[in-house]
Amino acid sequence: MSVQDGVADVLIVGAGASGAAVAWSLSQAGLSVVCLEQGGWVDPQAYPHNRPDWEHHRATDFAKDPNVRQRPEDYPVNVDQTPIVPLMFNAVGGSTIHWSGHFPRFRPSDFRVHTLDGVADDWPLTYWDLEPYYEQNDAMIGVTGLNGDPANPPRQPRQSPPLGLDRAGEVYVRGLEQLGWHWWPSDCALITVPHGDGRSVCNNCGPCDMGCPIGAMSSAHFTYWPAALAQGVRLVTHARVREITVDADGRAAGVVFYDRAGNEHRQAARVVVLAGNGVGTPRLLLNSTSPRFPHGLANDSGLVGRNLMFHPVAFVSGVFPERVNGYRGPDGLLIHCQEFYETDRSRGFVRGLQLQFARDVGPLGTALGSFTGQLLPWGADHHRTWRERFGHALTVAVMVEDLPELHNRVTLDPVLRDGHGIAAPRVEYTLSENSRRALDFGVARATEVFEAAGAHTVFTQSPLRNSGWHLMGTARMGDDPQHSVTDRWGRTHDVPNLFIVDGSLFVTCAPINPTSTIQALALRTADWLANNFSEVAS
Amino acid sequence: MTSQADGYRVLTAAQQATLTAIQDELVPPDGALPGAGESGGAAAVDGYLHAQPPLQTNVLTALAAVDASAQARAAEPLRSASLTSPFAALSAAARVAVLRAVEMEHPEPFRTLVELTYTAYYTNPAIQALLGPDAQPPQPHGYPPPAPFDPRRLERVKQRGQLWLDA
Repeated sequence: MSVQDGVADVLIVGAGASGAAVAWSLSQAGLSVVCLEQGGWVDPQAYPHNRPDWEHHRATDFAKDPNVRQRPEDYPVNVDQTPIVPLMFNAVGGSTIHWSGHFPRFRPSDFRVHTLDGVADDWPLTYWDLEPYYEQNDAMIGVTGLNGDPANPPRQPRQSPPLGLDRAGEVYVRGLEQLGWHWWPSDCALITVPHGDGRSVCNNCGPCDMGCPIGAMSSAHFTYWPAALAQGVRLVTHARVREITVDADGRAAGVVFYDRAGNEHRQAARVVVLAGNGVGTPRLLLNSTSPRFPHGLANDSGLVGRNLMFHPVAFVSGVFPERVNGYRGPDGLLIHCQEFYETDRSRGFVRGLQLQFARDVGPLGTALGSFTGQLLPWGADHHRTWRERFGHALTVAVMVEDLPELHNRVTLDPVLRDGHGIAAPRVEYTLSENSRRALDFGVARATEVFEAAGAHTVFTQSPLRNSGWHLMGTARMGDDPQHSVTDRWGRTHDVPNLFIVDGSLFVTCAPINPTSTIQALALRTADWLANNFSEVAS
Repeated sequence: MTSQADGYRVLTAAQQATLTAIQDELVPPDGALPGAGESGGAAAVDGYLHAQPPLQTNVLTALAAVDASAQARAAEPLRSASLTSPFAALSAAARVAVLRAVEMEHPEPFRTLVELTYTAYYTNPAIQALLGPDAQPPQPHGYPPPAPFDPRRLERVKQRGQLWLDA
């Protein structure tokens, strides 16, 4: 075992969306920061976009599902007891490499779910507490969008204007205008005008979810990390943390981690910040047992790993007689509808949903049945059917708000291990009746849009199994230590120098993509930690 | 004793012959487009099976079922003599009948076979060239961006007033 030189002011576990933001913010404040990341740097030029078999790589060695991808830096997840599979990417930049970059903000009502609807809990902070950090984050990374949306509070101008409505957008708007529903250009973590060093503007290529080879997506390895490294952050890649160690007083002392060759190391720190994700962070806490914390670190409440929320998603695809060129353009940068966002109990469920008007797939994806999985027929009709579908189909993602439930959780699998022999996570999740009804309602609304827009055929997949992009709630924040894992600053109730900054913190999850809120929370925690470091570290 | 087909790492010569014949039925020739078998689909599938061994069970099950079904139809007229693949020796109509039967009896292995055949076909640069420029890889050229967004398109939505709750 080696002991890394020195004691870091702050040790961050994970170099994805939240870890990168915290590393940048704390190093800017003058603290010494070490970040351990189990993956490595992924060269954008090595992404599959230029290769004729790019769609095959998208489904295999560059898939979003770690159980499919099975790279050495991935850890397996037992998904036998969940209808939704967690998706993630382990690298510098984390899952912001494999994303569509949808970048909506929560609404004020999303922080007051219990007050408004009598379900779940309120957050220990408000939208207005978070607003300056949303703005700071947008300015740092570059976001595309348009001001004036009546469905959201006013905000500062985005850094990039949206792309225009192409054929796909025009088709959707045709349906939405006929129905008289809300729609707006989506906020997207992507640039259409220059922003930051070494990045190119979007060239409309399409498959953002495989990573952006030109730096147009505002992924953490293009935005926060270059700045954080320039400020002196020490980033250690291929460093897999086994456990967080504690001292005699029950304070976090540092971590034990393995390098790529399997050698064991220790890194000491005054403060430890967890920036994994809603599966990785509870896994690490549950793996960090000691006489003081026999049930896992910071788990006196018993809530570490519980209240797992996904955003259950249904895909609804429409096929049009005219060409809509659905394979062109970024998924996250089209339009969305928030007509059904807030609770209306007459619909048969509480909370709401968002319709994300997305695009479609390439030539192979078309043959394999696009997003809804209906394989094209083989034989004499194959080519005719393919020509009718390729470039003629679009897909709407129906994303609903999940509610926290104790039985939906992450535990340690008694058998499954990662490449270093560390217990792997097991996900136990049941789709609630409320979420099921919301999905059904959303599928019906998406179908209405397609019918109004002129689609001749509509396909549905609900719930989508490979839709666990958003991993939330498994170490939630709150004012009451009996009912939460951290306080309103992400500081764990039980270990005063241990913080969490990823999606595990979420009390509720809204019906929209979480990354802008994750990064805003991380920046807010970093700000507070920098201002209170002496108290926290002593 | 069986051995791999030349240049193959998983499939035998007989399996390669059967797979090629199957692929030409799954994705048959169409105008300028060759069939999936004649465009080299079997070699590509062999590569997938080598890279992802868990796929082998389904594919080999499907191939064996196809040849077994073809053998049972030996009384039917043969299109040509074949020493290696009973399926390849069947008439076109009999081949389709065999594939429909195997699809019913072994749906998962057969689906894997179809998916890998489609994968081989639509990732083949020669096929992509025949399908046109929009079937090419998305980079390095991307696609021309659309005209700038016209905010006047949103007048109706704006006129609805505030839609969010100030909670």
